[in-house]
Amino acid sequence: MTTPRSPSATLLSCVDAFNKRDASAAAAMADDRALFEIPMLKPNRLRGRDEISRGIEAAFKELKSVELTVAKPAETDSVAITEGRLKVTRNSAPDEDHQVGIVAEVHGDQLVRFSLYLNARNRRLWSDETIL
Amino acid sequence: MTPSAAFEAYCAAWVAGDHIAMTDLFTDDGVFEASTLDRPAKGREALLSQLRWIAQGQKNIRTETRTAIDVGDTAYIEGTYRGEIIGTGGKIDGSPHRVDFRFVAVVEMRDGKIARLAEIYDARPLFPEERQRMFTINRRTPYWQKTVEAGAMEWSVYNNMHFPMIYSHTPHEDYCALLEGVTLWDVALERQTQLKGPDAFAFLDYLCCRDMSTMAVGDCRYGLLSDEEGKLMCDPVVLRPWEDTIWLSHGNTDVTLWARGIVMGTDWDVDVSEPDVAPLQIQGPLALGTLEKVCDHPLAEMKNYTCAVTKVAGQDAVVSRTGWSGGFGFEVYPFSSDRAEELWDAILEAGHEFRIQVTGPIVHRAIERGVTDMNYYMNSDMNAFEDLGGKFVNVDTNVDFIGREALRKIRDAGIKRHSVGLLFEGDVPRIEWFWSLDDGNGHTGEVRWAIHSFELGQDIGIAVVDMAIAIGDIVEVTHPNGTTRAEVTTVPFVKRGA
Repeated sequence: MTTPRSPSATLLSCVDAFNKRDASAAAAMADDRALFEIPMLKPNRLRGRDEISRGIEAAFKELKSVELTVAKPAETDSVAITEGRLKVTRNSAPDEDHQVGIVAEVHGDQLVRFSLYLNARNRRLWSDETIL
Repeated sequence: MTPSAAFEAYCAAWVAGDHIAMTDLFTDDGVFEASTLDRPAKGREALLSQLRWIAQGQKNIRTETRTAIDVGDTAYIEGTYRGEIIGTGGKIDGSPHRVDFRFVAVVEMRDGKIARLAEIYDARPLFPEERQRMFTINRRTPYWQKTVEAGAMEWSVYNNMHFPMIYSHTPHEDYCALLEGVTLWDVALERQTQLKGPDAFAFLDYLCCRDMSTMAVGDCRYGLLSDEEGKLMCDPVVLRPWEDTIWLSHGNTDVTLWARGIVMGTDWDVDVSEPDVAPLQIQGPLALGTLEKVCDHPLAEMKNYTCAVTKVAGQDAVVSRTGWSGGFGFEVYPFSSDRAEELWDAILEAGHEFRIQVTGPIVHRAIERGVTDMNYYMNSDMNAFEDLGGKFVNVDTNVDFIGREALRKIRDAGIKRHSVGLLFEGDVPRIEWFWSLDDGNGHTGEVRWAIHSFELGQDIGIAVVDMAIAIGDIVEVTHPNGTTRAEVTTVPFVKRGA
């Protein structure tokens, strides 16, 4: 019998998986119908383990590095929330540094929702640059 | 008060549009961060203005908290915000422009007050996916890339140039920046018709149906041009920076072609051209503090409607105490657009400490002040007497000018229409073409301008109507979303500096 991981521990594990660019590890924590919301992705809502794994993997391919640093999360029985910064180095676009908020919602031992809050508008500036 | 309770109080004050109550929740050095702010607001004064600029530009606001977790002096909150933007006129289908998003908020307390509130959300869905697309048939201004980087979203076409009209801020934020701060406008499309030579000044008087003969060097004057039938063509700001040189800083009419055509084959000793002058407007009460940092001329001594030849950011330029804001401000006319982006950057840097905001022309304020614009192809066949500027026309002068005889006949036959203000009894959409108007007794007119007045708290308009329609009358205006009643009133709607 395993002890369910706390929402904070799940959130931090997910952050760790992002920093290692390990899409499989991130998806493995997710419930079959889990929801990942990441504004920079297209689509930015990924549902279910397979879609989450494929979506994040595709995003990681565009990145040279991911550095997600967060404060100690606050939690209830089922939800953890924190803030931090996300720095990404892209293969073919300027580096980015975002203020982020993260919400992880768990049910039992499974992650059912991972919501990354950041302002992705600078990825869609009214310029002639490539718009992802 | 717990951090999450402070946030609930903050939301309640926001919904009520009470920026003072919101600010009172913060420490004196409190900080407010949000994804759609240009920069965090820090300290009581910055919070008071920033929160008012944002909150009072929206209505029908609702907030919902999904999860709130207090940990000591900090709260982490996930929630939803819903609101509607005031002053856009809504979408084409009549629905409001909405500001709906989910957020994470972090509230840090100190001594029972909010020391830091950070609202983190994705602003991308709040704006169009792409800026408006363009065609090469019109010119870019030399500030094009700068305006794009500043968030320009909608352009008009003006003098065959792209005119950035709407940026990313809400109408109320732009309005507040104009009335309380400083704004930078790309008005390079305000082309200069240059009259140069011994006859330049006399030729100006011939072009204009207002007496320009008393203009001294260094003067500016509101001008009116009509055609030979007395129909209005445009209303330029006329500058006389040098003895033998006049600039008609004109609206959306081919004044240069018109003037060249008139001069051609005559004895007028004047050269007519369009120089490479791309103006900028720096408008608002802090325009002086901004511009004097980069301008060689003593701007504080400049009177309204005067101009001076000087340098701005090291570039030769004319500066004038004019603008389309209906209030305080300057225009800068560099002699060349070769270093246009340098000039733009220098003014933005000078205005950084004043929170300078790049905006389009702020029509909300202009119409409140009765400042309009016109061009030959959309002027309802207006003659000069029917326009708000008709008071400047003197047809009894001995000085000959284009349209004088026609205007005399119009006056002698009785002027048929006049320009009036409208106070709408409900919300009206953004005006894209003239709306018809009638008073129920067969008297009609056309609404040419309609906008929300933030000062009056209602939608207002300017119309050209039959002379029989008088101040105080009630008229009915038909627009794409239906009909709206309006009371006829005088223009301007508000006083300068009110």
